[in-house]
Amino acid sequence: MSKQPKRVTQLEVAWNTLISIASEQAAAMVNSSFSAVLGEMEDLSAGVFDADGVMMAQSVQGAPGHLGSLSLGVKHFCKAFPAATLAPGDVLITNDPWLVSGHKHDITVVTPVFLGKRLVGFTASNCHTVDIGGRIFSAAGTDVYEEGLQIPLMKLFAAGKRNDQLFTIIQQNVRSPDLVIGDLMAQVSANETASRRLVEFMRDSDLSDLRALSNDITSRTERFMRRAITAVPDGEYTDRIVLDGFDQPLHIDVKLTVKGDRILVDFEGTSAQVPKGINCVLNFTRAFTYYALKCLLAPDSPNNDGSFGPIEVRAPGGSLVHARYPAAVGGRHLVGLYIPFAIFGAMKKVLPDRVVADSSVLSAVTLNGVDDAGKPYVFTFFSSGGMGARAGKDGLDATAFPSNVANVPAEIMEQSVPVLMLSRELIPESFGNGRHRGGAGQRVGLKLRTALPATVSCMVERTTSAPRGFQGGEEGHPARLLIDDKSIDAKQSHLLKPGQLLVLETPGGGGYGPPKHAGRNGDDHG
Amino acid sequence: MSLDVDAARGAIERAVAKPLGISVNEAALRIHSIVNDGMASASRVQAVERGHDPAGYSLVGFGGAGPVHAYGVASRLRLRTLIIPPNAGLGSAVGLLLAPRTFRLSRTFIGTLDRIDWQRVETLFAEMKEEATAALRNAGVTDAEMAFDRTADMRYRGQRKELTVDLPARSLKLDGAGALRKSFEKLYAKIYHRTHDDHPVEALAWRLVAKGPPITRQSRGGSKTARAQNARPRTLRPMMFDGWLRPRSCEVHSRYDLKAGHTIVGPAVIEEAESTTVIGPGGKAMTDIYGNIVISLSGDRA
Repeated sequence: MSKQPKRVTQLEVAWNTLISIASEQAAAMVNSSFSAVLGEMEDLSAGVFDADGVMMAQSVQGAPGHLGSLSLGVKHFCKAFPAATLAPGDVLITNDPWLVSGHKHDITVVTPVFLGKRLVGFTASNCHTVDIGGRIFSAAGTDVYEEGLQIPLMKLFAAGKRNDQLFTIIQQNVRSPDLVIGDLMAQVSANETASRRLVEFMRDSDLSDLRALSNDITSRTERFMRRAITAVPDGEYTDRIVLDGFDQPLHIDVKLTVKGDRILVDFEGTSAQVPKGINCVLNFTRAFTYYALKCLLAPDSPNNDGSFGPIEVRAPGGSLVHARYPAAVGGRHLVGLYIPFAIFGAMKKVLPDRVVADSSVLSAVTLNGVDDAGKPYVFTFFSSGGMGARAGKDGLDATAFPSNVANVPAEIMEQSVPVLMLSRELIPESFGNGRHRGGAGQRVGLKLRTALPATVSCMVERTTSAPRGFQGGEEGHPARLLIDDKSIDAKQSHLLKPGQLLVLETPGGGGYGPPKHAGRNGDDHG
Repeated sequence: MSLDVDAARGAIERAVAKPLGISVNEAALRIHSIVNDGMASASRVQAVERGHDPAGYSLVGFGGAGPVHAYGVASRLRLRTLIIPPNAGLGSAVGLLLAPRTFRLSRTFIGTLDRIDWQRVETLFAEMKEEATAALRNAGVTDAEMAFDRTADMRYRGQRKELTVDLPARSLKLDGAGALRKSFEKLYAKIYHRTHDDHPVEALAWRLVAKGPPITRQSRGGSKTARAQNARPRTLRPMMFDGWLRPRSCEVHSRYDLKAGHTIVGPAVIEEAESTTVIGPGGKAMTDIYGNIVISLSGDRA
């Protein structure tokens, strides 16, 4: 191929190839996975990095909480493992909440990529594992030590050799070792798939180093982001979002200062961190801030480190959105997922056509027990409520936002745990009405199929603070959690006895604009 | 249908060439290249999602614009062979009439390889074979013409997705577990680069594909054999391929001139009413007795 000035089009080809490598990586991970969290809900992300740890491309599939946090995490790996300490066949690992995506269930695997003997980049993946020991996946912890096994920045493989001791420690500490190790190996395989493709791509394109290409990609993306910010009128935009909390409500306060081509996002005024597992580390707060601003300003531009340059995130240390070690962080999404709504709330005056009214976010319920054959099981099912309405469209029913974790099919649940799903239905009265209506929440009812009781760990938000409507739209219905028709604490563990009916009702999304008439239907639905 | 070349050049000049400071020809070539690249990337992701490695497959170019891009896509996927069937724009309708009569049967019977009842597996295959044989006979296929392939959907126990593994024709009763684990892990390692040693492998579904013979067609020009000879182009036209700085004069063939055995060496294009086949530099095309254009790729990118 000639080296004539075809740079721009060559760049596009190279860029698309990198994105497709990251997407192949995610596909390989999903396909070779063992758990429903990975295989069905796809709570994961994958990315391709240069030798300095700059993220060049992220998979199209992926959870928004991993946007930016995977990238921030890889930089910690680079610091801990300088090039001289790495060899072909190495695979690195951590689940440190403060270094990557905010709770121990997310395991990050980073594979250095070598062209010959030279380190040229990294492939990285982050997946929610089914169990990490300690308390079940829950918000009930009072500090991070209760929340399971901590894996420091370590080598999972060293020059191709398995770190058997670490595998043994993990196996011994988790409730479903087959699934946990299976998924972990799916990450290792997926990174290797992507690493091989990256080397092949470099050989094909005659590249011995990725940094020039990486710089080209990120600087273009950053320019694009800066142009998008410039189009927003300068000013200060604020909002407060109120959450259920535990004994008393909690709030996230945000102020966005738009000046020229930069945005400062400051969470000053947000509630202090609490001795419960809902605190967000700064990485996670940054991830959801980036995500919200990308949705508003540059939804179509590919994800890489360039998008984040013009955005500065500040949060008071020791607050709910910048928790200090050793705060409990297990259910940090119960706070983090609301950050985009605080940002949308602040920006709705200047970007009314782009914001989404409050959505239900994600409700997680984990079942843990022993089946009739004496085998322990643990299974987390996420259930989506209604998405908020938009300026031009109704909210989607039973669709999580801003998390994009999928609902688990009833068949998969019944195969994975000894339960019988008795109902899964949309709740028609649950959404907020408006010129466009919010999405409907769903009602899930189940019973155990065992002779033994199970522990139900709940992480359900919005049981008192309903999803808000925007621009005159009505609010959606809050969530409810019931055992045999009696309301139970939505952030605690409970005993579910055989024969008892567990019902989860997820919230409906908020409406957008004043409703035209007093019906339950928006104008897109007759 | 006639194309307005000037209007096309004008549009590319305005929207792409001028803003990037490159020539119209180069801009057009780059657009073609980006489209090919996008299709190749999408194919790769699709292949991984379905648990296949594209290497070793041949690409069939069909549909109106398929043959225009097929060479570029195939070369990006490092495929060696590209097949452009006659009437590529009408591929599915014709294919439906000409495909061998085939019945695909499956039975669900789940078990790990070290424990599964192989007697039961063979019984299931015998049942399926009986059912398929009756169906094929009913479709006019004689017993001598029938062919059977056996596969199993397998995975490591507990995994979410399966891989489809070819099974030997011989009975599995003797060493089913050993043979299947080996075939499964070979395929698994090819796709995922790792195996889970000591992890049990389970089979979920057993499949039988029962086929009749290909439906014989009149070969084009009536001959059963083809003698290689160079095809004669209708005309020459300036074209550009990857890495070229300026257009060069290349052969333009009419598909309707091509007889079995006719060969064309790229760079060239073959025109027909429904589509245009692009052959990159170094690609070698030969028309077979059924009118397919079979192209061997040079290994260079186009």
